[in-house]
Amino acid sequence: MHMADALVSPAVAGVAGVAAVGLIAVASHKVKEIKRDDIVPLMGVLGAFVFAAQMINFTIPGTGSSGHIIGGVLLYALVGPWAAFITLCSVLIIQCLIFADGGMLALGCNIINMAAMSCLVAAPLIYKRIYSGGRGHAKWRIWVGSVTASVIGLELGALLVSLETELSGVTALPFGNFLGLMSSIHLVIGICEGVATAVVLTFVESYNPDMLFNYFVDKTDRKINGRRWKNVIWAFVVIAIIMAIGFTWIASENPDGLEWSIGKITGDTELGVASIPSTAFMPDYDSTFAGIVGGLIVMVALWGICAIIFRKRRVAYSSSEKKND
Amino acid sequence: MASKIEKIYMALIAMEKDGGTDVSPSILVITFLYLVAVLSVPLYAPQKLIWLAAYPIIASEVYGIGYSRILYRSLWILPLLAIIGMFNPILDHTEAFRINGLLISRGWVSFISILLRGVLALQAVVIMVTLTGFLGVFNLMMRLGFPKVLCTQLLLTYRYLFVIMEEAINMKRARDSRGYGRKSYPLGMWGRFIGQLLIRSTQRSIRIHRAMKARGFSGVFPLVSIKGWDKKAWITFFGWIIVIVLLRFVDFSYYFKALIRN
Amino acid sequence: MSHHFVRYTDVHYRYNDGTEALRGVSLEIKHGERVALLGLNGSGKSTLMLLTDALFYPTSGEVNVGDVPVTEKTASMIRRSVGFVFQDPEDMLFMPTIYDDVAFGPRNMQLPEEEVMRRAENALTLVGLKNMGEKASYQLSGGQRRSAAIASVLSMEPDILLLDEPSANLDGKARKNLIEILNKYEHTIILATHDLDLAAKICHRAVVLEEGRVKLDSPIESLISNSELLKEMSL
Repeated sequence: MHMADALVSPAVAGVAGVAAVGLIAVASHKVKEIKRDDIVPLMGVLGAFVFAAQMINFTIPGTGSSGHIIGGVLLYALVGPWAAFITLCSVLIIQCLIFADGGMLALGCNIINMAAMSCLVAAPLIYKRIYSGGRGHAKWRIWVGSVTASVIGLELGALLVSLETELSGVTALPFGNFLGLMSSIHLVIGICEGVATAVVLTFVESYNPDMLFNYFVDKTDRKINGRRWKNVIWAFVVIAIIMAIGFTWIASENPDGLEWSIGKITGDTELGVASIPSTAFMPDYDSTFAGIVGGLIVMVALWGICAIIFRKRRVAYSSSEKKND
Repeated sequence: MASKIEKIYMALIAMEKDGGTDVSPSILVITFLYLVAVLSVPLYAPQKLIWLAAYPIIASEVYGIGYSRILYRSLWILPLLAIIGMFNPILDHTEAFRINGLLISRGWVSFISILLRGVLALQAVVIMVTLTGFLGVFNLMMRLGFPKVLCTQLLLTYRYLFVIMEEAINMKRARDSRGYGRKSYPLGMWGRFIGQLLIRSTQRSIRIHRAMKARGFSGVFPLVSIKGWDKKAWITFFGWIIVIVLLRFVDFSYYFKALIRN
Repeated sequence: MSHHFVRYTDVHYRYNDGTEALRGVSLEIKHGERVALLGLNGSGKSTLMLLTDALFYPTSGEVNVGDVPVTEKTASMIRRSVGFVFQDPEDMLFMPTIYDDVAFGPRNMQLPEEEVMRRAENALTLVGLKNMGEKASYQLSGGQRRSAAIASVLSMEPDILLLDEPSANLDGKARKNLIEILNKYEHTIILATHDLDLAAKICHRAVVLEEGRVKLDSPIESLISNSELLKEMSL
């Protein structure tokens, strides 16, 4: 579900980024309020665990293919919503920077789609209700809870991916088709993830139930500070909506919204920029082809020139030895 | 046969050995701006995107990485991008232009754009991470004032990634040696495996917590905020900003064409 | 000078699962003494060390470090004067650079940054990692990691140094280096180990634990030279 940079427009990425930053700010404060001081190393190691666990596959029963865990609901069950959110964010950031799994500008989208939807929406609303719904935590509560929560979390994520893609306007695939494709794939993934989460959680419960997060302790904390953080969240929701409307408006005025807005700000329509008709996408199509070919030639030339000029700067990046003085 | 997890572990080790040159702290912001510049180019103007390739070319050569290396490291994403973009040529048949009568649809033009967007965006990120290493990026985040909770979390996750992966690899090897070449686990066995790994991980966190407490830790992680930017950082920062803004807003292909025609 | 004794008075410790790790340990360690804690796995060595650094609290009996009893209230005070080098350096090195790891303790003590730097540099020099401060822990060899872990404790300038299996996973050269470092340290050392040779090179006194009780307390030479006693102690 990781969105690549190529799939999003800066406007969509910006709105999601603002929302993600807001959530991270709230979550950071919430995590600070957690009384256990072992939460710092625990979250850190759990992040690394989720990372490693994602690389180990299980066989999906009845098929030849394999799946892996994503971890939102699992983390929620171990450390509670906010710590789980921060933990998953750190995993997403590392995946983005080191493995280019998901783009850097699209990071906000990915945090909202995956971390927020599973840890802050699906797990608290569904997993927690089912898990702590009655007296005694029977195994089936874990199973039903994690499968439903995982499926709904992923479906929400899939819905958001489709929405964000549609708003970005990069792919020509109609919204309905895209959503249909995404949601059916993620239904399957969600069931697998849910089953996998349940398998791990029942193992943990039988081995060491103290490891599971205690919701009853957490409730008292939440009542004290709930109101304040609700306001912050709403403030960010409002900012995000305003940005969304603003960007949509700019985008509809002129396809190249950024140039347009720069032109507006400087008040200079003859910037030599926004006024050149070929930058807009309608007329003068054959300049596209010429532009591509010409551009390619120039870039190759530039590469050659740069490589010659800066050849002495070439650092031995592949060798493990580093200068140390 | 190296498994996926072992390959990734090796890549991680190699990357940290590579990185860590002293670069201007502004590179995070520059990369961000470059991404905005690339992604804001309209979908039907790939000729403008090509000119934006000047940034990764110049930057990789100036900083001594070499563009061939960056190009090599970024091309793997092409199949993924092709999947993202493949519906455009299928669904959008409107004529964009003709080359000697051959019709090129707008779908193909936007397809090319998607490929370029993805590759260029990735190249910028790869340059940044190659230059600084992950810990470098982490330092930059500290300087830019990201919440300490997130920074601590990133730091510890990254640090223990190596340790937990090593543990997972050892467990996996022990299992593979008795597994007769099976690639993935039956669900129940996988559950016990991951459960074991989880319990080992939490035990590790208990030991780390002890080691922290023994050295006076009481819940507040002493991350020392790193000082801001120096003069050199600002100069590089504005230098690159100018380059990126020029590449984004000046229609070089237009001038180039005019130059050729004259 | 010598209030930094450690006194254990009939110390019992029981884990949550009911295991009795210590069943009445009484012992006194004077300032500047170097004591080797010997014994099989599960004999209670590690538990005794964790109690000494106020990471656990005795179920009954009393542990005194100097004149201060080990309780939750005195924990932070105790941890300032007692330094604990854990078995796995990986658990102790979690900062981006070795320097930050060594500075972790002093920073937690809220010392001014110049003092932190002085202490960190001293500690790094002492363990022979003077110019390695800027490295990350995975760039070091196993022996260097061990030294870094010791430096990260020495920077707190403890009066009592606890070491849990410091020679585990060390090659010969690193082991020799470790002995050199520890012999430079002037205050009390309590060393839990299976490595008799190491114990003999560092410590003067041997305390053998068995099933949570003190089985033998003697000068280390007399233990080493007496092969029948060694056999009896199953060492």
